[in-house]
Amino acid sequence: MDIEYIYPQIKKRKRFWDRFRYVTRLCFIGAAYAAPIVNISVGGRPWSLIVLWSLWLAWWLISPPLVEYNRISQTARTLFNVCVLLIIIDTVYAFGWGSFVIPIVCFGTLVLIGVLFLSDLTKQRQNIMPMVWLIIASILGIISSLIGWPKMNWPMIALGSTAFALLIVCVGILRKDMLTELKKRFHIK
Amino acid sequence: MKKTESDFKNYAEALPEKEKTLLAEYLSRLSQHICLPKKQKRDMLEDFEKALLYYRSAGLPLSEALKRLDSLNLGGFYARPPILWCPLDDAAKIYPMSMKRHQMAVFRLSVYLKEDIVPELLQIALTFTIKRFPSFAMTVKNGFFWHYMDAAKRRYAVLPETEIPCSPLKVYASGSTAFRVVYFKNRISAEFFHVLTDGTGGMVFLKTLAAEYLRLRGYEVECGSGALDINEAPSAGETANEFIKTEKNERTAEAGPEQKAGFRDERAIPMSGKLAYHRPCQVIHFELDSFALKAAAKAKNATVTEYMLALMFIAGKFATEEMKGKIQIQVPVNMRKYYPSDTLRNFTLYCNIKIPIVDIGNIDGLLPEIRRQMQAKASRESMSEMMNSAVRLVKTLRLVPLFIKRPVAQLIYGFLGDKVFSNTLSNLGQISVPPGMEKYVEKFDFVLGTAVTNRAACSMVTFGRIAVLAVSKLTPDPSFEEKMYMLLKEGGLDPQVKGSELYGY
Repeated sequence: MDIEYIYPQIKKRKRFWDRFRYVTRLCFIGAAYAAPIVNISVGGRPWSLIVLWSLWLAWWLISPPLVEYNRISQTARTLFNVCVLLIIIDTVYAFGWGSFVIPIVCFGTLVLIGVLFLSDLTKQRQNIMPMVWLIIASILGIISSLIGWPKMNWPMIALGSTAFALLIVCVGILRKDMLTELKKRFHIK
Repeated sequence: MKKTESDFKNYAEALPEKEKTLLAEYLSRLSQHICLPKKQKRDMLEDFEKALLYYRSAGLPLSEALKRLDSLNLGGFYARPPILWCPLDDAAKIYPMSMKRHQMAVFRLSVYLKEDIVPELLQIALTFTIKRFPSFAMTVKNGFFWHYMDAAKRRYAVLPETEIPCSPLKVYASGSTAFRVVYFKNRISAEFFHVLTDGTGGMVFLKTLAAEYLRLRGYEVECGSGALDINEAPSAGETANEFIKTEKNERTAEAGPEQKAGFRDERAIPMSGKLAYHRPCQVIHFELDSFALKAAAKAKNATVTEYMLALMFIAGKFATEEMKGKIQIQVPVNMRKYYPSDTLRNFTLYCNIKIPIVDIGNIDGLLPEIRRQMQAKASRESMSEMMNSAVRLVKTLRLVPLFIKRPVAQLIYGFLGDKVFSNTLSNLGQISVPPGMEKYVEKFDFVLGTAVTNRAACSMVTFGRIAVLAVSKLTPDPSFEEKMYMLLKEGGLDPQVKGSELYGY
């Protein structure tokens, strides 16, 4: 059976990154199994939780999402993962700096996301949802602080006020589009 | 300064005064129609400049060129902000949930013209055509419960063909597209992520694009026969989710056990052969004389689909080493034939034709059973039942957050969905084109992207005297297509075999 070629010579997909991901995944899975086993065997603090979440964070960075991979969503998701890691470290080792450091990290990221949003309004107005989540989380954080946990401190005040200011800016700029965006994101049809 | 820019500047400066004014007015009107980000606007204006330069080189007077490239054809599409959005139709919901990095439900429709493609004009044809298909000018986004499609206003580019057919589309970026248009020699191909449309909707898009391209070439081509008028407003029916049509009044309690179609099924015998890294690793086209094919099928008292299914069962038996179980072929069923609809979105379901491998012998022995199963499983009752199942499933899952649904869907689609089929045969049937277009069109073809583990997927389309059966392969093992070739030859069909090189293992 002779085939007459009617397709052009193609640019073959480079396998390097696929192989890299494959080998990395194997290493990560190995480490994810090994860490809790070693941790349980030697006893002590549950440091394997830090290893597991760090592995997840590292894997997530080299394997970006297939839908909605934009600068705002990536920054917000990275922040979420970093915050969880910080909470785990703080809880496992009982350092006690979590309520101080995490609001500072969130505040910095919120400012960065605000800049990303405002510097490219036309394109980023369809990508605001991760920022909205972050604003909501920050406002909930300060409300919780007002109630008494975690304790109120200047990073928390800075975070809450920045979140509130950014919310006002978003509503001012987007107006009705903000509601449309929420409608899209929460549709059940 | 870019070459096109300087060429166009020289061209514009060399024009007589009257034409200079005409051109300046045209460019100003054009600019008014395009409110895109700076770079995209510049690129789009450059597309028009390239088209004007092409017309000049073809000796067309400026007034005629401007008439063909009339900015009225842009409508308000590029001047308005992207506000449209729509939920995915019920059939499309699985695709973004189940896709993986190199595995995406993409299919490809191509039209072969009788002359080589002029890229400059194809680009303009796409720029004009896309506004008629607002549901195609969209990108996939994450919702909390479901994905949805969000409008993406941008310059939609045509590209020379440089990748494997049905390669995954990059749908992750802001404003990315869920389809691509590529060209090679005399072929225009449109590749669609299945979230946008099915074969029928995709064919309407391709015919409209090709008709517009031919008009830009200066040929008289009318609208109709599935090619839409690009300056007509899109109707609501074209973007409707038609899966809810049978929901209330057509429950099929009287359906027999074979007609009770659902999504659960038994495991099928897979074709043998090492799975290739490249998806598909090869595409093969069998070009057949459609009249001879119809005659061969009619001689066996079968339809073309039934006849091809019989050949596929025999070839499938030849391509596996398993001795027990059933070969099961997925046959998509266009629901528009039961529920007339103008929708350009997905409105296709499927049935599963099964034959135990021990019962597979010759064509004459297979055809009665295939015919019986096709009549029972692709019937209106059976399809309505499946449609109900789909709607019920979507309703049941509607309040489950996407981050829970997605991993489950990936697991089910990867390990169960694909395992219940050995192969697929999607037949788009006879394609008609608008009056005046047939003389410029040589043929059409239709290529399915490969699934997770199914080693082959077959698709077919007929135009005029040429029927093209395309086989997308996921294994370098040539047993299936070689047996198909032999069977077609034995049936007196003498296929011409065309296709791609083997892209790799």
